Amino acid sequence: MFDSSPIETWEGAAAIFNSAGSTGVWIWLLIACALCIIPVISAIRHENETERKHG
Amino acid sequence: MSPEEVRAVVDAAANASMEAYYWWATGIMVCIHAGFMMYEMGQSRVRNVLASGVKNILAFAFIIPTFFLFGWWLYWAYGTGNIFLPDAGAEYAQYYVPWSDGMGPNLQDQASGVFWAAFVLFSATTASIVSGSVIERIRISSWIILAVLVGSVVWIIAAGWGWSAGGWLVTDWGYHDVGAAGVVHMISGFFALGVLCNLGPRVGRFNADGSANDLLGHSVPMTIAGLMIIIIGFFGFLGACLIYPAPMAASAADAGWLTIYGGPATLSSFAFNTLMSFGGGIIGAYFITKDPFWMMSGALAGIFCAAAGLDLWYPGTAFALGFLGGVVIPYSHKLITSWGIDDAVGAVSVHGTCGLIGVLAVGVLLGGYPSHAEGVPAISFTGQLVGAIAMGLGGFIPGYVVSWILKKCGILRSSDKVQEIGVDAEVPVPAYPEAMQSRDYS
Repeated sequence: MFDSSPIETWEGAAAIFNSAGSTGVWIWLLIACALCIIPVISAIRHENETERKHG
Repeated sequence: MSPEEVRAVVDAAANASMEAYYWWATGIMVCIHAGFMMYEMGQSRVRNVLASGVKNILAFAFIIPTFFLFGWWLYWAYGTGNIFLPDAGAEYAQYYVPWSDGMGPNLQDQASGVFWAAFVLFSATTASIVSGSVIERIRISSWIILAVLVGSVVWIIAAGWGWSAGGWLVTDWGYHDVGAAGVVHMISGFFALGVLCNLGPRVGRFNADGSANDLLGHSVPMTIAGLMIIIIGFFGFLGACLIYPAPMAASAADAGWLTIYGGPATLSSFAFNTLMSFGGGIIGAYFITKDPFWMMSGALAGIFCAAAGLDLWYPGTAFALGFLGGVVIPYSHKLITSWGIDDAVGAVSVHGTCGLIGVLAVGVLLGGYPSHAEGVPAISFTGQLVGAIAMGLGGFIPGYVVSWILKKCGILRSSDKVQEIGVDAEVPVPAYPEAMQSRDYS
């Protein structure tokens, strides 16, 4: 569906990961960062709720 | 030294390194089995704990000789483009009949024994995956039959189809599944689903109105530690999915690590993406559940969601796919439970669902990568979809049909009475000191 190959032939290929050398890499980096930050916020909320319940 | 002598020394050293690599990868893969055993015993109630362990040990033991007798041969007999019937005339199928010179100590063949051993452990893994879902009510004799079926027949035929350079899924459709998301995890997950349809739930799992009760295992810490040990084992598993560099390659393209399809790869790409998807899976499951059982299951789910494209993912993509796996598994398990299916450890969800995600993710996100061999299609969504259907049906149908036959023979399931006493009634020793026992062993 998403044509993300950075190569057309394997001869002399170097970076072969999806979206290598394009803005796609930055999009995946941003997604990965967001997926690290959101669970930490969720953890803080969960702990606050536990504190309220039992603290 | 003459050039011929130099070449002989290099060849000998490289062959010994290759043997050592697969030897140790096989040893590490035993951790998958050890981990699954702990995981299943932890998820069992006290009265069933040893039967779960015995079941797991026997699956491993029976797969070794049956894979020697016919499993390894099936791989080579299905790797030449055929779908239904094995090709007994294929060169390697003839070489790997169990009475061949290649199937035993042979000073001219250093590869066959260690490759066979690695595949035995892949096979044991497929049986271990199914094993957890059926605990606390399957009869051990039936389990042995089903374990041999999935481990030494079903998955290895699927591997011939889609995990070898000559398989029809590869040559006709460009199917790409380097880390076995489809051929191991989908096959096992859907095989388990087929068996569970006939096996039925554990006594007390569902109420008359269809609502489910949680039958908590006796040791969550044992389960979690077991899952972490499985992860160690998967480093051996995934490492053994690559072909070790040939000593004197014919061309530069063949000089490094190769995927199971013969395309160029690096062990580094597997390292990046295995770890990133592992981390993503744990974080995703923590985000959704905060439950350590699902977090460690999420680690496995994450790896399986990235497994099919471990050679090609950007690590950020592998992390996101792993996160998706960790998020999806509790919901997928809930959905399967709502159908009245009692999967005691969530294996259908972790392996079946995430294997499916892994296979399709390659089609969605990695389209257009050229093939390594002439005439073989590039990676495409259609090719991955055909592969996913083949793996789903290839796992489900044999699991359903053979477990239905065992059910009709009356040997599939322990009686309700035995389940109430505990299936450890079949085991002659108690699991724990008398203060912790749930029945009288005198």
